[in-house]
Amino acid sequence: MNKQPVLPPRGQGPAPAPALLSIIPHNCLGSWNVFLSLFESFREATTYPSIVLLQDPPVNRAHLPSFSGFKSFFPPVRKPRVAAYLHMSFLSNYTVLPRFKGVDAVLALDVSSDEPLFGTAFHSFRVINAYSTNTVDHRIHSVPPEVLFPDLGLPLLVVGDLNIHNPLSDPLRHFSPREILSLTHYFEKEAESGFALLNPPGEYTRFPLVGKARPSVIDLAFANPSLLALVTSWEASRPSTGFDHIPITITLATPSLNQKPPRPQWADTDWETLDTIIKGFKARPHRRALPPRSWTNGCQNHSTV
Amino acid sequence: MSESLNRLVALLKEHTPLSRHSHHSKPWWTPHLTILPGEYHKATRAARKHDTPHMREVAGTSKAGYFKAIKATKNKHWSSFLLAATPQTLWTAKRFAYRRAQPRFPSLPGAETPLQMNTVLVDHFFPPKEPCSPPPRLWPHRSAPPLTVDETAVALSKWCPTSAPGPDGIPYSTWKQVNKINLSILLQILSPLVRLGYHPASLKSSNGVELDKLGKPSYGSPSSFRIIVLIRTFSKILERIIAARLLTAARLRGLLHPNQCGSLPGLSTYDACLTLTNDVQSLQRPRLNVSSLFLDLKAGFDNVDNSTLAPILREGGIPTYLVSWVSSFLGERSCTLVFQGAPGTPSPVNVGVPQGSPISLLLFLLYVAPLHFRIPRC
Repeated sequence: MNKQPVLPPRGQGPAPAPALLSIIPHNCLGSWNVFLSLFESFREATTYPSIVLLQDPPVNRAHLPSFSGFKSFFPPVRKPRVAAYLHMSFLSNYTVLPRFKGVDAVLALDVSSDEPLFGTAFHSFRVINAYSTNTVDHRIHSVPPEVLFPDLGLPLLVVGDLNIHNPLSDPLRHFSPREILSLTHYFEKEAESGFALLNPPGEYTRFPLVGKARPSVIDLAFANPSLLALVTSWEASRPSTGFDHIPITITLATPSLNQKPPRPQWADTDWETLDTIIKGFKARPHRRALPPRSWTNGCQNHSTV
Repeated sequence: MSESLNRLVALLKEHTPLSRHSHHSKPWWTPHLTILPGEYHKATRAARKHDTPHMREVAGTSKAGYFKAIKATKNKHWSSFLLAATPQTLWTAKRFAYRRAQPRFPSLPGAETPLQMNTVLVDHFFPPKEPCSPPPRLWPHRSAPPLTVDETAVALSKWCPTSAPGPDGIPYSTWKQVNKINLSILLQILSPLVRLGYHPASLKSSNGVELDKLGKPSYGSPSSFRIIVLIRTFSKILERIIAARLLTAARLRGLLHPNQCGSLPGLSTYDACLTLTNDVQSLQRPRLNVSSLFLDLKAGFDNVDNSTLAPILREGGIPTYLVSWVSSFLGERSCTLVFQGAPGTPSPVNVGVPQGSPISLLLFLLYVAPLHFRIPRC
């Protein structure tokens, strides 16, 4: 008689290996094609990014497009200038609180967990996504430096299309004195708060499709001292989305090695197997507590023997 | 009890598959749609290669056919979903028909981090209060009638299978199935609790889901939000059994005023309205002046004090095991606030009755019953 092979219980599955935290900021120029092109490119990769931060996302009737497997967050305005798409597996492991700084072009995400993150004492970190536009003469920027570079006692990453040219990221660019003057307060606040630029020098992030303008670096990323050591890489190696901005991938260390297991699908419980087990299940009988005198006597006997 | 329940839950989890995130789940997709893109790409490649008007026309038709097929399949799926809609799926249909509004996230002044935000909300919803006196020593109450199979079956039958579960995530349908297979399991686990008049701490943890109140001008204050408390379904079975016993005892001893309507079986708010209308009309007939006074108890559930309720029950002649159980149920509770970005830390709750509990309504009625009896009769 052939013995039936014993199948392992269906509830036990290998937990997915914790991965590095990848963050992709990108300017969509309000284009659905760019949005689709970016998200479709994730399908070809082996892993999905944890956080996608969009500047100028496509908006239809105050709603943003959805993409399977991601949850979107955006400022509660008719035409949000920034948005964040978080992968569901990331959301199931960490709690994420979106915060809107009173400016529709800034979105902060507070990522926290009940256990220390990155092997440090911090239980949370913040990611700021900003889309700062400016006037033609670069005098007025829509996002003030105080919002971009706050003094925070947490690991903090600031990314976005800031429309600011930084001499450190683009050393070959000619900066006019007026431009330098208009950006000074940004650089001062950045230095005062101890932020470090993550963009490698000379690595362009924008290639103008028309005209004779030279490539530039306006998609910047900054990390404060608490986060700087946790940044693993900054890459601009993703395929183009058909727009002049190049998608960037910033990789951070794995925040937590303990991944929460997915929730059980109670509708699919294997009742056939459980039937016999539950029929034979016996609850442990309630043990009555010994009265204090018996307990004392018992202890005395035990200690005197 | 906790050991047996944990063993049972572990067993259930072991035989339940885990959920998986899928990027390809489209309920409307059909095998026919899988074939169409292949034909469309084939025709496009052929048109590029040969570049004849006929080939271009074929490629165009294939492309239009593919996108039209997607649209038609989606519409067909939606129509069939609506046709098969039941009262249970009606709200799902509404959710699909109207785009869900972006939920409002609490943005409270002075709360910079999720932990600070959690503290502000907890202080608002569960005002800090001195913890009650430690629970008395447990002893079996001889007067407690033994739990019966019928009581557990009735308690389970009243639940909707889609009711939101508590922190452990186990729905009622699972306990119903367990009870169907083995009638004695729930009895074995719950009987000692009834006999001892005790509600264990493991069953008193709950999730407080934060919801925004509609139509508020601003959402910068905790009062713009409300919470619903989700209790473990297993705990609710016992709560419903005790509620049934407590209601019988309270009615026998006349603890509930005869005019009390609402939250009681067979007496609804409709009856209260009819009674009021009848009273007003009967007094108006002899041309008397009639006035009505309406009172709204603000945060009534949240302010039920255990140390006040227990003497009311005891003096009303409620069996000691029920008084003991109610005291144990209301004491040393904890609630974990659930909102987007919540740190997930449990907070002690020392006052009030949990809103999601089937016994809370009855406990509140018994708590405010002396008000009815003290109203002077004209």
